[in-house]
Amino acid sequence: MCVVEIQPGPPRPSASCTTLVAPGMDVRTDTEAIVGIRRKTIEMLLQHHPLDCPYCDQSGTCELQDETFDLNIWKSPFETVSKAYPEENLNEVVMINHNRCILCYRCVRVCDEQMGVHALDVSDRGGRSFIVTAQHKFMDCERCGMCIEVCPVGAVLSRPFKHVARAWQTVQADSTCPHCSVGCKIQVESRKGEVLRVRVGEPVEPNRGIVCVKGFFGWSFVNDDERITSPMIRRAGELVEVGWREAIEFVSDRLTAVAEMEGPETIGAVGSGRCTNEDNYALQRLMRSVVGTNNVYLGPNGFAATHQVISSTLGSEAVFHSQDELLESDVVLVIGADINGTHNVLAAHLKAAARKGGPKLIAATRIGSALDVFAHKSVRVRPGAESKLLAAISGEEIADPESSVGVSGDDIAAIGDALENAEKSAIVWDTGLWTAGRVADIAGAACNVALSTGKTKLFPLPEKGNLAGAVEVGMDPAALPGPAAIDDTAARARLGEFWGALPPTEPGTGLDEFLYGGRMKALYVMGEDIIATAKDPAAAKDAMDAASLVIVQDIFMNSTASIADVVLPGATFAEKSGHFINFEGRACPVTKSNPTLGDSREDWEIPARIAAQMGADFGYREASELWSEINEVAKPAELSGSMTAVSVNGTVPPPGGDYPFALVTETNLYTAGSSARHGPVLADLYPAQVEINEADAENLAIEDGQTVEVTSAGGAVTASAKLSQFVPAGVVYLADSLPEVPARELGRSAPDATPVSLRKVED
Amino acid sequence: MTQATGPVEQTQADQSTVLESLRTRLADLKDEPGSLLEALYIAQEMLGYVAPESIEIISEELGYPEAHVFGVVTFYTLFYTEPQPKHIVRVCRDLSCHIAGATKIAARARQEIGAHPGHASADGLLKLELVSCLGQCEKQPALMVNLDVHGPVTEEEVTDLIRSLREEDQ
Repeated sequence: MCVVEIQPGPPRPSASCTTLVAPGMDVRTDTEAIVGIRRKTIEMLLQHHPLDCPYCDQSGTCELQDETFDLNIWKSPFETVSKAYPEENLNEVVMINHNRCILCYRCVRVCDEQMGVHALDVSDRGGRSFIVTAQHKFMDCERCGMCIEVCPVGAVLSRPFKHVARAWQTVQADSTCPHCSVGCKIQVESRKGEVLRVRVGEPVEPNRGIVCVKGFFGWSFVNDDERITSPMIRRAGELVEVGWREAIEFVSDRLTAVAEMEGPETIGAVGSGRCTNEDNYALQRLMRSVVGTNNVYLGPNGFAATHQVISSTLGSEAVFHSQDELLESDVVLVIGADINGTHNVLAAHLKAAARKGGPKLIAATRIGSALDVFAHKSVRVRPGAESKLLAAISGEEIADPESSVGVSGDDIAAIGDALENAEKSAIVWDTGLWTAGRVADIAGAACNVALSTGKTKLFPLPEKGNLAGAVEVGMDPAALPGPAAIDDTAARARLGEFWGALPPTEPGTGLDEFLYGGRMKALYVMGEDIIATAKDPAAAKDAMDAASLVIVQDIFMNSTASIADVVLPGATFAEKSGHFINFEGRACPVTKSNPTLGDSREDWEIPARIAAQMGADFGYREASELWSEINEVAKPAELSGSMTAVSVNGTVPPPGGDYPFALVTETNLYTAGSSARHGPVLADLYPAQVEINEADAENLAIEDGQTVEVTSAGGAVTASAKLSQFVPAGVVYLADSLPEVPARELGRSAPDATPVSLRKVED
Repeated sequence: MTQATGPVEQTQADQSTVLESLRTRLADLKDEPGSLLEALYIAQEMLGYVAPESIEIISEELGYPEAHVFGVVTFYTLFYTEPQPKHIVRVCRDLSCHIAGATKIAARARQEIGAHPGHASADGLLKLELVSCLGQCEKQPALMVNLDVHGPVTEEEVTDLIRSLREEDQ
């Protein structure tokens, strides 16, 4: 199909896909001879390809169908040989129809070259070739679905999409995947208000034509039956569905009353790294310009503190760099979490670049992962000692590195040398799940490496899709949109112009002080389960019970919503327009492709309606008006940074005594907060389980699938055991945000690197 | 190079010992680019075929994705994924040999072996394969006994070759 005529060139058709463009080349793509060759190729493909288009999922988006149509081929002049292999399931999500396969090898190549997985290959040769898994076994891959996405015909098929809709019955909308902070561009396909599948569409930054399992299959929460679809007000202890007018009046009256009687500083709001910039901006504007408080927060997260440490040390310019800068580095150090699980598409790009002779990849992760295969060097850092390892890499002497950080002195020296000698280097880490102090330590230690080499760029990866955006639009009691300081006169002037009111001059109180300090009278929580993530859930719940008003705006009920006075139904990414900011600082557009479910509303609309009811009409008719305003007012303050080494505190001590294992909780390929646990596919792909090292399991006589109990000084959880080659000895791995196995129960104040014990539960 | 394609029978215990020693032999090939074919040769030499377990071991030890190893094994017709008779006679049926009477050579081989092409003989010792060009066009008609090339061969020589293989194993 790629044949062209080239002048000057060989006296025969050339394959355009393997010929380099040269100056003066005259390329003909549609001469009679070329079209004839193309026609014969299609005719030969049709010799075997069944014309079962009415039954085929690909019909309407089939490249073979389109070519046949364009070339006006009625039927193959060759004797047709129909094959009748039954369709075959390769795993939970991928199936294959060999009869339709034209052996283009795109699935094999995308799996190998782009995803670095290579779960598919071609068996035999010539006319007997088939696309196969390893020895025809169950395909235990990353389930990214890219083989389905690139198949030009209906050979590699999506099982969840099998016979769901004809391609022409769906409408497509370009949007951004809501799960992690890579911010992949996706194409959402819906019919009659229901999302049916996600595809990738044109290859653009940042994902360059690929997605991971969460992007491809992780949207089913949008249509989930458990969505909140109506506003609710608590009456006689029960949440009762009400209309919007009543809910808005109720909230507005109560907020006004609390502000008047208790003072606006007793009111606070929590935004979300899962909501758009527009949503967060509207909420903080309500608080700052109408209620009159700077008490605006994000739930516990690592990115905000990381942002603060890096911008105050290296300057505000040092927080975001483009993915290109990362991939063009000579050495890339990945520290801490396995980014193949947390930020898969970025990891895939890194793996592919490393394999093509790009950056030398150094994986200093807590658990083993697919990165190791492509890494120039991979070591296991002791959970809790990540900042110490970075300190050692930047030259700090540490005693007995093997036991204190889990990495030998030689390896540390080698990593230090690699970073030191590289022309361009980078440190990448997921900022998630590490408790506040340690997050700052890791960021500080990474800054120190950057200061010591002078050429290391930092790539902190926010743990939620839009944490970076939420920080930028000012979900911070001590920062205005930008982020800019509360007393930044230029920022205040800009806000005053748009808002007609100025935010309070005093910063708000910290989240913990607000929650537990006893003065909270009203709390507005959007897209966050503040009780589940609180370091002391009982105290947080008591404080909320004591408050006069708790408002929860969310898409699902959660532990905070279940005690709220008012519950307001928000929208998913598919039902609203706006922007996420990804790890590069890039604005990624989110497009409304579906009407909001039931009586739910785009999240930014709700605070805006409350404000209007309280007498301050924001005047937004659509999300784009908020985006224009954000771009006018949210100008980051340019901080130059102290450029002096940050002092880094200690590490979590190694586990021992009664609790000999270190607990690692990370997001993995199949988990991403509550959204990944609602709806099929993702939740089914990763059942609730605790992953343990094979040798540890043998010592404790634990077999795969047996029930085990993980106990810490703070609590215990039980789950079935999964023996894993990726979990190092002495480590117990729990995926983040599995409601059935709440890792936080094990260490409320420090859910990560908590010392735990492990034992088999006799059934 | 003479390579017997493998013993006819092998007990399970033998096989697991062989697989363990395959692991040891692969140690030299680690971190050596392009070592997959050599590893597959070793695996086939040890068991007479590339067993499913051998594919897994090669994948684990040399770090090639298992799907890739499987793709390579099945691509080459000289690698087998199932146990094979000890001796394989491959008769070329391509143009040059065909003109020189390969059909008769193949017929004689089939008669001597006593089984259709692709099937093991009754004693399990021999198998005939009709193959594409062996690169011996100047020696047509040509055939291979295990990895040794013979050509040009006559029907009588085919009979002698096959009988001598049987006698070796008496």
